[in-house]
Amino acid sequence: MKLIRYELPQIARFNDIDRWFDQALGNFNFGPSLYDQGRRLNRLTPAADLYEDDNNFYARIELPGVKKKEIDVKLENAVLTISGNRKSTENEGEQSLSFNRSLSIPDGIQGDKIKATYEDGILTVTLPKVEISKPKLIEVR
Amino acid sequence: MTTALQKDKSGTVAESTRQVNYIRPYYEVDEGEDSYDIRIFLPGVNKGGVDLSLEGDTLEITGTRTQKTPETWKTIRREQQFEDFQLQLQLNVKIDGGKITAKIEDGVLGLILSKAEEIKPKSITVN
Repeated sequence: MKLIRYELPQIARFNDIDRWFDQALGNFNFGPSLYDQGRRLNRLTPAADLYEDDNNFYARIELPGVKKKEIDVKLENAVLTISGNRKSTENEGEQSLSFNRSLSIPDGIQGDKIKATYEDGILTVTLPKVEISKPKLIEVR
Repeated sequence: MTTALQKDKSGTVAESTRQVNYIRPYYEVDEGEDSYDIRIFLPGVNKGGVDLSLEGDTLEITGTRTQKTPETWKTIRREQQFEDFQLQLQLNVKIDGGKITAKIEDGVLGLILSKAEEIKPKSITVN
C-alpha cells in the first residue's frame, strides 16, 4: 500500500489571477493607475510558500512594510495562521491595513519547537518534523 | 590575438546569460509640499540589493533578492515569485537629483525626492 500525501487544494483566488497578470505583464511599464492602486491595497492575503527538507517544513510569507512586533503566528489544529497589521504614516496620518493568511500544515510537526524569523519583509516559519516522519537509513546486516 | 578573441567571447556569454526577467514591484507615491515620498515594496531585498540610478528623467530602481531559498528545500507549494525587481519611474516633474534620500526597512524602500527649486510653491507677499 502506498500512502499519498493529501495535496492542498489549489484554488485560483483573485489575488492569484492578479499575480499571473503581473508575471505576464510585469516587464511593461504602465505607470501608476487608479486600477493599480485600488487593486493592490486590497491585497490582504499575502503570498505564502511551503517547503520541506529532511528535518523541517518551512513556510515563507511576504510581509513587506510590516513591523516584526505586528506579526502574530499561531498554530491550531494543523493550521498555521499568520495575521497582523501593516501601519504606514501618510500625509493624512497613520493608516493601518490588517492581513491574515492561513496554511494547512502537514502532519507530524513538533508543535512546541516552531520557530519564526523575520528579515527584510519575509517571515520564515520553521516547523520541525517529529523523529518518526524523518527519512531514516536502515543498515542491512 | 587568440586570447583577446576568447576574452571577448566569454564576455558575450556572460552578457547573454544575465537575468533579464524582472517583476515590477508595487509602489505608492505621495506628494508633499516640497518633495515626493515614494514607497516601493521589495520583499527579500536588503540594503545591499538596491541599485538606484537617475538618467535624464528616468529613475531606475533595481532590487536584487538577498534572501534566497536554500537549494536543499523541496517546494511543496509556491505562490511567491523569485525574480528580482525592477521599476522605471518617468519623472515628469523637475526634481533635485542631488537630494534623493533612500532608506530600506522591512522590505520597503522609502525614497524622498526633493522638488527642484523652480517648481516649489512660492508665496508672494503683496506690498
